[in-house]
Amino acid sequence: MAGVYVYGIAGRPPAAAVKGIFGRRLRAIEGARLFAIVEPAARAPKPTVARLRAQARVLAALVAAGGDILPSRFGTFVRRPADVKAELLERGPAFRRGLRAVRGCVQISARIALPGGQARARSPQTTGTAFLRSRAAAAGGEHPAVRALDRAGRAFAKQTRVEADRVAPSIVVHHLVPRRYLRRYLEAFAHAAARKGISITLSGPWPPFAFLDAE
Amino acid sequence: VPRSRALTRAKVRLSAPEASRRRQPRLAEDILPPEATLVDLVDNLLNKGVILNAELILALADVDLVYLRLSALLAAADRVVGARPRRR
Repeated sequence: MAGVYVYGIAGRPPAAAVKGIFGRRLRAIEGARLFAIVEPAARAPKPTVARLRAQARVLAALVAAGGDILPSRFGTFVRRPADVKAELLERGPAFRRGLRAVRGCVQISARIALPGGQARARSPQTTGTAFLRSRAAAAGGEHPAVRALDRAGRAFAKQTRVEADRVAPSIVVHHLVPRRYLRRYLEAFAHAAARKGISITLSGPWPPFAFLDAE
Repeated sequence: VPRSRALTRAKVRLSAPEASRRRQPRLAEDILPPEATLVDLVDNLLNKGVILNAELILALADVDLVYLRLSALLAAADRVVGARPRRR
């Protein structure tokens, strides 16, 4: 078993004895003063919901131990550990910039049901063009619901990303929130949603998946 | 959505971190029940994240296909659920 399964890039090795999705203890591959958090593995895991949940739990344990991490995409299996080290050396400055940008923060995601999508379902007069324009506006943060919630979260969030969901008729607002403000952020966000009568589904704290710009 | 319902929903969603304010914030399962986070789980882990260049093409291609299939499944479920009349 010469390969490794990569969970992410961190500024320090894992502090706790965390086991990976294959049941083996995680270790770190160092390069350019960065650490790839890996688990010895023979192959990439099959992408099942159970495996996704298992990987989320591993990341949760790493984040709970207090570390910042740039999470890898599911399925990041590398046959030769030396290639991971080479990658750290080659992309070290970009990884360090990424870690600085998310230091001490976690991601909270809020799914907002799109009024445009609901209107389309109820009213046959709504055109596809109008619906797509509504989606585009929402993705740009121009939707009134997004603006209202963004104002509420902005006082505590370090960064905001807005996406039109490709799956459901909804918008997703991702906020990068410093851990120390997390509870106050959640209270402010929920209060704003309730006051405006906006239906939201919050999830998180996640590692900063939506804030991995140049990495 | 009636205001009272949104408020109730928000309170339910936030009850877990409220209860655990003395410890470190953790990941999704601490805030929401697992079934509520499936769409975010799929979106974050399969569609986002750092990609390393080394020998990943085959594994990621497989994951891409699964992401597309799961997206289609979730979209279909969303439309089916959305089309059902709401009970008061």
